[in-house]
Amino acid sequence: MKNKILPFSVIIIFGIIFFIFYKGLEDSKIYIPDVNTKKEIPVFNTKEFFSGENVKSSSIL
Amino acid sequence: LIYNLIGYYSLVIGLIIGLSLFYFSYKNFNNSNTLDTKILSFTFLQLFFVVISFLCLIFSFVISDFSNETVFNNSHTTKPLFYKISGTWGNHEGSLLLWLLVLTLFIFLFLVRTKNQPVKYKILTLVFQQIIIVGFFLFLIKTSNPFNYIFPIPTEGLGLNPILQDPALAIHPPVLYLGYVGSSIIFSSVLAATSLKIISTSWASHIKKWILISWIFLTLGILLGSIWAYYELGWGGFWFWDPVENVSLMPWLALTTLLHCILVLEKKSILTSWVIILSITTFTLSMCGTFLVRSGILNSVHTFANDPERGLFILVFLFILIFLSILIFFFFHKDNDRKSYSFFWLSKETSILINNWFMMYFLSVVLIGTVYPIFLDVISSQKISVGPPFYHKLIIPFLIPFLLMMAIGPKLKWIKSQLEDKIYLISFLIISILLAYLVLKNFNQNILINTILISSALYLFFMTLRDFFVKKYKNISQNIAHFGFSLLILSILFNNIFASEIITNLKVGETFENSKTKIVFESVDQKKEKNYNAIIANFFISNLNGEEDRFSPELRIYNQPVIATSEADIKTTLMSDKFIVINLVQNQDFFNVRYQVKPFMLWIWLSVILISFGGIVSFLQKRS
Repeated sequence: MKNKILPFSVIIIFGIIFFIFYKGLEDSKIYIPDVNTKKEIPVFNTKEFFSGENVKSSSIL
Repeated sequence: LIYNLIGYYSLVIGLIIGLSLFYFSYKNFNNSNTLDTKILSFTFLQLFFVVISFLCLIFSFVISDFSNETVFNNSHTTKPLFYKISGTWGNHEGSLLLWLLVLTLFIFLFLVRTKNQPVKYKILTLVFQQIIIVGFFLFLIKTSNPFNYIFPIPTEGLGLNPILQDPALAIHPPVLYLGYVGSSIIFSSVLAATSLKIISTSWASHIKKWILISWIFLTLGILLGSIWAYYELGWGGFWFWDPVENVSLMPWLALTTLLHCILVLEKKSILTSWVIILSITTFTLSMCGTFLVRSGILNSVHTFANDPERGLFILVFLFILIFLSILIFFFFHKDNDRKSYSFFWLSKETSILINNWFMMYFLSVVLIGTVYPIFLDVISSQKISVGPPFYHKLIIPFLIPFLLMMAIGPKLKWIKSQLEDKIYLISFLIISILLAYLVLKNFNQNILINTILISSALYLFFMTLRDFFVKKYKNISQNIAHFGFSLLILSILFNNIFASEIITNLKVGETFENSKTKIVFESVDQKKEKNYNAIIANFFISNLNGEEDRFSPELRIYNQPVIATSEADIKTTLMSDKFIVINLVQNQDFFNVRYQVKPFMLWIWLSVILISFGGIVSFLQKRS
């Protein structure tokens, strides 16, 4: 009896995991890591220290 | 276009060969005592066609053939040649083709290199491996074809994600896959050996080298990914407990436990259930990782596309493999370990078993932390984020007994042991505690837990160091790996405790100064490269010790796709890394400056290399 309960329990557990993963697929990207690697291009305007030349974001893009 | 056709039809031929191998295996399994040469030839042909297919994709990237959808989506004519080539596996379709390449390579090498094992075992291993291979062929051809054709042909591609345009990341996937996917051969062979009931000491010796190969590459692959994340993602850390990192750590933990179990099986013919379950777990976790990062269920750099059909295919395939494994395990495996073998409390096998349980605990923590947000969201629609504090709180306290057991375990004998060299054991422990206390006494933060942790790591460090002199070449591979691990834990601890950070906003020409450090923002320059333009900020940084350094971190604006990335400037010395990264403050002249001094960074990388080197020595020892 004990020998039959163990495999049956393992299969039930994995069945539940399968169901949860399957449902999770319906709503993709539900977990978003803290580190956002895609940065927005900032708008900026600054000067080179020695030459005094303007550096604008619009001229770089 | 020609490469698309050759590549696609090579995949179809590879699939047909895979299916025909089932037939030849069935015939050979029933009728012969020698391995049919057709099987070997067909396995080679399958590998050959997958290589052809892979080369076709590489050529398509090199010549920027935008009639290929994968090339169009992930390449650009302005990309340097190196990144055009590495772009082959820097996307979903190409990386899956690399999966297939490693799968076919390993089964071919397995058949060629495996001697003195029953023919039926080799055939069954081939059959189980072909189930995986055919599954991946179908997955590629049906949902992730790398050779989809676009018409009209675009004149330019969409480009590769800039953060993937990096040397470390170019070689990270192939190295990681050799470990990750390499575990498939362990999975297939353990199912074959279980079905045939031939798990024994000689089988353990035979499979050990495959476990070592997989383990070495997985360790190095994780290292490369970690190094890349350290300097490319711009937050100065080497491990963030991101789900993508976790899915590579989980198979590593299972594989490391398996490596220790196989040593016990090889010597004492016990822990067979552990070996079978861990072999299955390792590959299942590799597959599970692929599902998690490719299905779109988690969001990460590796989530190349969100296509529910792809996710569903991998999920169903993963669970077919899991259920097949469960059936084979429960149907064929009879565990007689407990009846015939009693573990004495003080013996090498007991110490390995105890640390196996610790490793399983660490694995469970990482697994729960990674998949629990998904479970909670599905069950209760609550969104949570599991971050580093969760892992630190649950893992760090258990590292203490784990490290102590690692230090004492190798000193014990098999079957029944006594603690020898008690004076050394106790005196090294006292020295470690005193040394840790002396190092930390000026730091009031968490002094008790940090002292205990550093003492445990120092204890392992001294014990393994002593073994180099006492045991010389005996168990040298284990000693190197354990020494590397002690160094890794020490480096991580010192890195966390003694790291310092300055975050400030500066304009060009401004200076930041505190009691220890002076940061002068001297100037900005511009740089134009083929695939990006960059703003280079020049800093002069000095500290109380009289050390002076110039740094030039960059802000890069890649042209295709248009994305800005921060490129850190890092000055590495033997004792510490000085790390600076800049960001622009929106609509202002200020630059956000983040300067960190991170002690022992180099030692973190070196210690992981040392751990893998232990595996390499063990592999070479066995071969000789």
